[in-house]
Amino acid sequence: MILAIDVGGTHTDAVLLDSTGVVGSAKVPTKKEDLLECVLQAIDQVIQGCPVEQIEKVNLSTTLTTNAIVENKGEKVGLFILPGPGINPQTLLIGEENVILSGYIDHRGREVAPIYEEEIIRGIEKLKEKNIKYIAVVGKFSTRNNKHELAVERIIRKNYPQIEDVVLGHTLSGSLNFPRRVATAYLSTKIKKIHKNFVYSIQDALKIRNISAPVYLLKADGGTVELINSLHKPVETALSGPAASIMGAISLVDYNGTAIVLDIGGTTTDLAILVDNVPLFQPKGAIIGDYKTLVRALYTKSFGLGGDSVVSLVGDQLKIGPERMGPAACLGGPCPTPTDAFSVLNLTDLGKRELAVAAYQGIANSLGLEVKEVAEMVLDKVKKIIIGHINEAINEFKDQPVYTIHELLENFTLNPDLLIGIGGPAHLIIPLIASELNWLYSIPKDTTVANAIGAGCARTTAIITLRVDTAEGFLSIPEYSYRETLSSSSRITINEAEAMAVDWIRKKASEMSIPRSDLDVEITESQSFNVVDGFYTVGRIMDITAQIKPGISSMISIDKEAVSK
Amino acid sequence: MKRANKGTGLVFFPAFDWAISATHPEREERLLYTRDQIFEEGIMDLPNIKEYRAGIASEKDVQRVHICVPNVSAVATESHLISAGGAIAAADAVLQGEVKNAFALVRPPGHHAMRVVHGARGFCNINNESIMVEYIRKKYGNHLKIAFVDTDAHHADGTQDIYYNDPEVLHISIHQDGRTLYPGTGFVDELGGPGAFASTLNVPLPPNTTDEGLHYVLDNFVLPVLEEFKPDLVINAAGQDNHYTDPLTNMKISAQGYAQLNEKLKPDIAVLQGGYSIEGALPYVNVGIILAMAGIDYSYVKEPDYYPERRLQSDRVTEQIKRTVEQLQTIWSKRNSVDLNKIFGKGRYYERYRRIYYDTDGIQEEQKEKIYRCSECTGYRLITSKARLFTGRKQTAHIVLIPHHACRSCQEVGLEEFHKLKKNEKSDFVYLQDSENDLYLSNI
Ligand SMILES: [Zn+2]
Ligand SMILES: [Zn+2]
Repeated sequence: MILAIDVGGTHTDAVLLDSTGVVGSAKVPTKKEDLLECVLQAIDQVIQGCPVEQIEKVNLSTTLTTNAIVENKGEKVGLFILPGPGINPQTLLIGEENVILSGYIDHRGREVAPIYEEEIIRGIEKLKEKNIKYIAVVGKFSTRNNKHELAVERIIRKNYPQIEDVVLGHTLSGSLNFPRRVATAYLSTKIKKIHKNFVYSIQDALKIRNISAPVYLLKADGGTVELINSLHKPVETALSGPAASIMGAISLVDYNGTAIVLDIGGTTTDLAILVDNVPLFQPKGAIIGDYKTLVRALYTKSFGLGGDSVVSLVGDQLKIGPERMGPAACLGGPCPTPTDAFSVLNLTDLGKRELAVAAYQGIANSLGLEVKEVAEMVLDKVKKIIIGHINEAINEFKDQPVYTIHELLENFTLNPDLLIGIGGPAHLIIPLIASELNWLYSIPKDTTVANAIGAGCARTTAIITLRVDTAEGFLSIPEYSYRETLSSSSRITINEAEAMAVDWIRKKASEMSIPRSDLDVEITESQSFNVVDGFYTVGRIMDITAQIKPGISSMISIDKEAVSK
Repeated sequence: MKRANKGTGLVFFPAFDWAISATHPEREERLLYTRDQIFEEGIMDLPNIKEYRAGIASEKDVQRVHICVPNVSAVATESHLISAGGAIAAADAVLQGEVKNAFALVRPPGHHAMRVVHGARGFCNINNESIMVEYIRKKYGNHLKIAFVDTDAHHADGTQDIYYNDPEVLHISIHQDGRTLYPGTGFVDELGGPGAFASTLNVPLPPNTTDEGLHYVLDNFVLPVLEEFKPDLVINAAGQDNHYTDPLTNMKISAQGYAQLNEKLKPDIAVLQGGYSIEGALPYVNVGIILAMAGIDYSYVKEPDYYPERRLQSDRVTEQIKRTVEQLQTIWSKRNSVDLNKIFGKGRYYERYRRIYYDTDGIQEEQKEKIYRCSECTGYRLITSKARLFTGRKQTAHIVLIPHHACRSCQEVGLEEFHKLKKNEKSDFVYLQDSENDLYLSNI
């Protein structure tokens, strides 16, 4: 059995899953100030009467890291950056103390200017004065050559043995984007202690409950990471909430085609896109709070519209959201909401209809209309807003710049024709939108605990970036700090390089004890260029990215809602 | 025309799967390191940068500029249409008021492609920036006054040819002296046709000109001329082969010099042309241009081997540039009092004869052109173009051009001429390009 917990904004859900589906669930209110406490409460409720030795795996999705980032909690970070030439580095100084070093590496991984030990030691003195013990070191193009970052770390450790941790930029992602690398390293460093405390507390608490199964955390990319492995890059576990809901949709609905997932809550709606049961990714990485990062994340588009959004009148125009003042009026809330519009029109038996009517009376009087007419207008507006966001999301992918003639002519477009609805108000709103768009729709049965199910079904993911530059004579995998010198006669082909990337990720997977049946490896990017000097080809540059795709663990086979065209 | 007061559009199309040939300077690798630098700098994440996807120029877009012999698909492949389509995407972003300015960082280049095209010359098949301009004039109004400032190290002979007799398009080319570099043209005395005298301007610079010399030309000639011409749009043909590390030229411009030029010139649209120092120059020059266009501090953008003394140039070079600028200042200030008959003769037609060599495709072309000296408009034009292809095959094209704002009579006579040619020259290709009526006809 799998025990899965999803910490949401208002509720924390726990489910027990056996191979066929949900066998138990629990719901407790989320206590933002003590997430550990509510996780344990939910676990205690759901495992009542369950033989804990049957639990094979615990999957956990929390808002811990997201909250810490948004609320700017965590340790003071000392940031060492090696910016080289380019954008003014002053714009990147987000550490509590920042040290700009003069060494730098170029786009080919060549050292252009060396580092100076004195500069680093001077920086360490500033950190000592402020008692800063968490340090991030980030170089421009460090994914092409990590030599400077490693050397700076050595000097820091030698001269400042009291430090708690040093995070190196190149280990966080193989992608090029220095400002995002800086932000990702900064956040990873900042929340390290908070995350570590949480990890150890969870381990202790499970031990007390005799749960010895391995524990995994859900990541923003819809995959999981083993608790202990999450200590290195805690920032990856941010934004796991939206990922949980998307994985929930995949685990409950089976559709070979393109689907839009709408997770409709009280205040906001999260939109995601599935193509043949695989979610689309955020092209460059997650945006967490105010930070653009290199954290791999599933694509989501959030907007301030939910069942409890405030409906008001601005001039003679209806305005819906983005704020929520409380529950719907029909449930005793303070102002009219979309849910109340359904109530007025007798489309739901939720709460008291007369309260909903009373709530809309004011707007109806101002517009000189019947309450029912206003309710119709509200639903019309809800439809328009949501469809507007759906179209925007589709166009975002359609207008995505491409860099080869082949891709440009291929003219990638998304043609979704299914809506998957999750969340409380989904059963009211989804049918309306689907009929307007003339699409199919599906609202899975267990929609209220879909996120916890999604967290439970998610399998472990991993990614590697392989760069081969035979002209410069190296092969490297930055995420694993791996670098190998190639002889000048090296003739690695693109096929060999791809095979190497696949082998690497398989090897990593077996180290992470990912079951063979969950090993869905794919090459997501593969580029190869001849390097020409004068009129002679002197080598090749190859960039390959391979990943274990996010998907549903083979341990589970829930009866899915099959949707066919 | 609504215009945005901030934001810079970027159309990046490196065509990573296209090359003229495996080791040709126009190969897949050309913008690879520029991509690395742009991506690593996080340029696309900057709040005032908006990235746009390149489009594909249509056959009609190409025919507004070129007479492709025998047809568009014979001389332009998808890569060329996308390079032009990238420039068009940049233009739309600006002219629809989404961004203040835009940079089409696209390849292959286009500024050596002339009006009549039999094949590729100077790595160019079709003229991406002119296709963009004719698209702009069609879509956003043919009254727009446009100025090109071409800063590629090579003379922009293609764009110059296309706008040779068009007074609403000012074409200024700043380049390494034609006596020392391909295509061997672009001298001070090339000033355009009888209908557009001095709207073609050339600033040949001696080899070893540095940032200092380039900025002297800019401050003392280009900017004052623009001030007077008052264009609605300024287009920078942003070739980067004038860099001090370029393998094909002898100029000494730096990324700082280029970014400062951009800041002064404030182009509405920049379109990449040449530039073949793909590691030592392009990553830095392109980042410099983008930051300058977006109004972001570019003072930290420097090549690995840059030092400030690179600005210094020899006194001999400085003197030569000063003389050239002086000559041009005189020409520009007297342009309206010049007796055109002295230059173009008193006949009803002005005739010119040219031999054009297509270095990339090995084509020899002979062109005879007659321009009708109309008192109402710039006059219809008749061109006979005979080309001998690399294979030895010969092809001849007879062309009638009717310009923008052509008078009624020139429109009618031009059309008659086309029908006459079609009847008489059955074994050759015959074309009519009517810019005024956006019409393109041929006998194929
Ligand atoms: Zn050039
Ligand atoms: Zn006329």
